[in-house]
Amino acid sequence: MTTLTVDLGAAEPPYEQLRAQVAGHIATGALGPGDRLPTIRALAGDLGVATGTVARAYRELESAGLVTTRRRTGTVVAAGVPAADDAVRRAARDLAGLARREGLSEVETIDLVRAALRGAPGPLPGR
Amino acid sequence: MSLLALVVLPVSFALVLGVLLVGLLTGVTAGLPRASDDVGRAARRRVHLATGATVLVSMVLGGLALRVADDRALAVTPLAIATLVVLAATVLERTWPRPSGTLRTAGIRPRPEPPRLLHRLWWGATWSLAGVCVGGTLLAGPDGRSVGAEWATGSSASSPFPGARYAAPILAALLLCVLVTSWGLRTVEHRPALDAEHAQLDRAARVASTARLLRVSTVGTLLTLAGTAFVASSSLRSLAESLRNNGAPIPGQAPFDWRQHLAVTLLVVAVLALGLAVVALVSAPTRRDEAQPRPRASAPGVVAR
Repeated sequence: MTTLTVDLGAAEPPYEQLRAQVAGHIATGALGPGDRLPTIRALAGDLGVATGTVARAYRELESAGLVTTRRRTGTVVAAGVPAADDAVRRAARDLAGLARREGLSEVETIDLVRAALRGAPGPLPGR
Repeated sequence: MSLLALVVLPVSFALVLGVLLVGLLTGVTAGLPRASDDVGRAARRRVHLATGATVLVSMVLGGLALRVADDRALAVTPLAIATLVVLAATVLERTWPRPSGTLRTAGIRPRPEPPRLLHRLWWGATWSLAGVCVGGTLLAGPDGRSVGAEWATGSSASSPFPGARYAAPILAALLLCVLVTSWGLRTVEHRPALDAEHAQLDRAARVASTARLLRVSTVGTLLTLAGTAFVASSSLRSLAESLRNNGAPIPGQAPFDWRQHLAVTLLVVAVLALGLAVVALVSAPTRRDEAQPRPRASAPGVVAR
């Protein structure tokens, strides 16, 4: 089951943690176009965070064009958002497994990826 | 004792028996997955407790309703019982554990849809009862409790009839019941979910809770509708007969006038409402395939920690 985890003790604000994880699920294909997300109140209740926290995460996702919100259907993954390439997805999964085996934290792993991205040849994508 | 009281009293009994049936026969909790750990067992206990409390509160209130002598109070008894039972079930819903600790996890699936059949029955019963009350108010005489007709040489009236005297408290009770049920449904929808390991149990428990609220509210509304329609039908039939016997000049009299037609229609509504109350009691909360998670082709993502 696809899950979201919020660490209230982390330096990163909870809304950013939520935004990043939902964006990650969309990129990996765990959430596909048309998939409905929980309502703001339901997700806030499940995580025990303020509704404003979830609302902000959803707003940011909507601004990035990853989700759309309609009165009748709620918040759904936007159509036409491509999942990451299979090879990239596989590599990300391998890296996650390796980082876990090596005892690296999420922050350390993502810092490594950021550093690698900045050092990699070619222009950075806009998204 | 008025005809209304004679009808509503058995109706109250039927409501109590109906809620009992919900718990004992149709098995609101039958669809709950087995649980082998503390969290799952606690959740199952909570669902069983809510069902037991619903039956108990219904029985107590049903017993108290037998002492009600006022005909207007009796008219709203099924709705009042339904409202109080829904209220008790909602208060219990608010006791589910809330997330704690700094690390919190939640599933990303939306909440299950409310049981479609029960939801439609509830709204259908609500609008039908409101319609019968408004129609009764328009047709009733100035006293608000009888229906009559006057002609050049005489007049005739029949009571009790659900005019404003009965329709006003019924509509007020109906509005209250709708508000409390809506609040209950929102409470169930927004209560915190169990952890990801118990997602299926959480889903089943949520559907059972929603069904419980809708069942009680729908049965209370349908029984009130049945009683109200039956009383209105009896009065109209009695009035039509009286007019015929007195040789009143009624347009389109032979063999029935519009009052007789309306009386038959209302009788059908009453019988239909009773039948639908039984359907509401025995219908499954949801289809089995709807209760299961929808499989996705792709594998879920991994959050590395």
